[in-house]
Amino acid sequence: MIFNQFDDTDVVAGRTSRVASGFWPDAVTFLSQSLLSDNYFELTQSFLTPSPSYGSSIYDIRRTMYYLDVFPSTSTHANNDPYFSVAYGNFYGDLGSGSFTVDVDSIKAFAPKAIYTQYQNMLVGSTDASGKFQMKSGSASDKTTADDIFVLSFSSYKLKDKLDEGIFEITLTGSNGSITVRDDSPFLSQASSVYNLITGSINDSTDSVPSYQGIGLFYPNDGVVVFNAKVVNQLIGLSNISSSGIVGPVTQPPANYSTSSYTGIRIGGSIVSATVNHKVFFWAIQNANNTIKVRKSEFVPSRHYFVRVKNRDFNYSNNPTYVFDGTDGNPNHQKGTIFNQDFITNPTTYVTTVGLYNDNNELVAVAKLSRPALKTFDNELLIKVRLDF
Amino acid sequence: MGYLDNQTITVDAILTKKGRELLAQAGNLNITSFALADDEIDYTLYQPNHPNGSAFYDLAIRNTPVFEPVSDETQVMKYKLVSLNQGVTSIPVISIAQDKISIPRDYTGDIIISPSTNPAYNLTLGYTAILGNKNVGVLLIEQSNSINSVSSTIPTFAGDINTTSAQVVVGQKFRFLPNSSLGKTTSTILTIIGNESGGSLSIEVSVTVPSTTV
Repeated sequence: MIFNQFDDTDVVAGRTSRVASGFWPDAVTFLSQSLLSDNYFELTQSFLTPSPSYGSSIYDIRRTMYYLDVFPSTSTHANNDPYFSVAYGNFYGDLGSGSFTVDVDSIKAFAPKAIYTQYQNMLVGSTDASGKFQMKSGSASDKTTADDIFVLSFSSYKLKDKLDEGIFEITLTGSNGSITVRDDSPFLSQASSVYNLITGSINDSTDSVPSYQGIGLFYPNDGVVVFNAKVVNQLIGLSNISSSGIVGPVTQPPANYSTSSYTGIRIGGSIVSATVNHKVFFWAIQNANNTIKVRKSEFVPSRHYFVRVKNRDFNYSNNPTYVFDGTDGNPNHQKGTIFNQDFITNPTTYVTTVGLYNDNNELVAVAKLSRPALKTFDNELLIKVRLDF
Repeated sequence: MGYLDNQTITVDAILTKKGRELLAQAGNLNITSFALADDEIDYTLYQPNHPNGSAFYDLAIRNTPVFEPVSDETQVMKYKLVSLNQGVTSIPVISIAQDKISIPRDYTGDIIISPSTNPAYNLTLGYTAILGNKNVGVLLIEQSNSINSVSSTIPTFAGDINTTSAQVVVGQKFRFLPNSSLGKTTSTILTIIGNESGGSLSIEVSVTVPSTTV
């Protein structure tokens, strides 16, 4: 017989395998932050006549008023294959005087307000009375509230099922210096859907409990990292950076935001005299002389089939080299006669392939062994076949 | 003191195209059985006279590289291993009365194809008959068996059987009717596969068209 039936004990269902790998191209975890590029085109394009043209509306999201896409290399940029996006959100949406003048002239898109609200709706729990993002600061019970946020939102397609807590690190550089941040999951005793950001590297010791500064929050299942813009500004200084590093205040705002009265966007109560804030934050990432470390995980449901090959089974082969073909004229070499005397006295086969069949004898899955496995009447094989879905 | 080798061989399987199709249609694969094959092995490389002794007899076979799995279910599991009683000197061989079928297109006699296996085998699951080109005629089931699935996976060889033009039937005995409207003399291959033994037999089928006389 060429088929053996599985019985109930041979099949193990409901297993889920976690497959972890680096987030960046070629499944690497480390990527130099200086390699990152963005799609912020307005710096060099006219508001009225953008090139390439992304439609007539300033609200077109490809014109980066709301967020900008970030690419790990120029080639992925050329292929328009973003890995994450950077956005700035403001709870009030104001610019400095309490008005919505972030929307210069008559645009009135309220992009920072829209960004804050959408992340607030998605991530902030309904039990949070303030409706704002809150981060641990100081002692375990103290929290600081963020009116302004920077958000890194990682591509769902790229991150598969989740980012891996404990394997996230990014360095930010500004006019006051640099900070390297990670999530605090290695210091906690139980898993959570949100972690606080703390200063430090993933290579640091995890012996001592960190001090919290209200830097931000890490949402591994959503692939989102929220930074408290006010705290980041205090720690590294965002007001005086540009694409070429720390060179003083940026005086040239992007074309589509450019007016003679443009003064910047308020972060945490003070005016930042820079260009649009998410672009500034991108520079803070890009200018850092470090690597951004991100790992992702995919959960793959699988089923295991235990192929039990007993000693009496599968010791003969239909392989044409196993038998005579009956064409040499020798009466002892009839078609089908096993050609090797050793295989008659000690029937032997070498398994290379396992086929899984349904009850219609349809081959629905196949597995290959890495090397031929000996099978005789004197041995048995146990082959565990894992089938991922 | 050494360690005993108690490893379980662990391998990853891939779904075949048929498996993906069934998964998309029915939502499950309903895997009920397995088979083993040795497609890559050349048993003539077994060297019972190897000068270094018996441990080296199968050295060449054990070191044979193995292909990665492919998702085309017809291109794998071509040579299946079979379970037989110890002591046999030959594997089951399928035979039929004809060594070739060559008939004119208007032939009206019975051409019964009655496979048998020596030693006796394929009594329950019968045989799968594959007519490589169904334009030459049609295979009818003369005697069916308990399992009459025509959806069984049939291994093929590149260029051997064109699955789009082939006819596949399952049974114990078959009848061949030539295509009376065939336009030109055509030959194809009829393959009989034992559904229990895994062995196979192929013969040529030729349906001739008389040349027109002026």
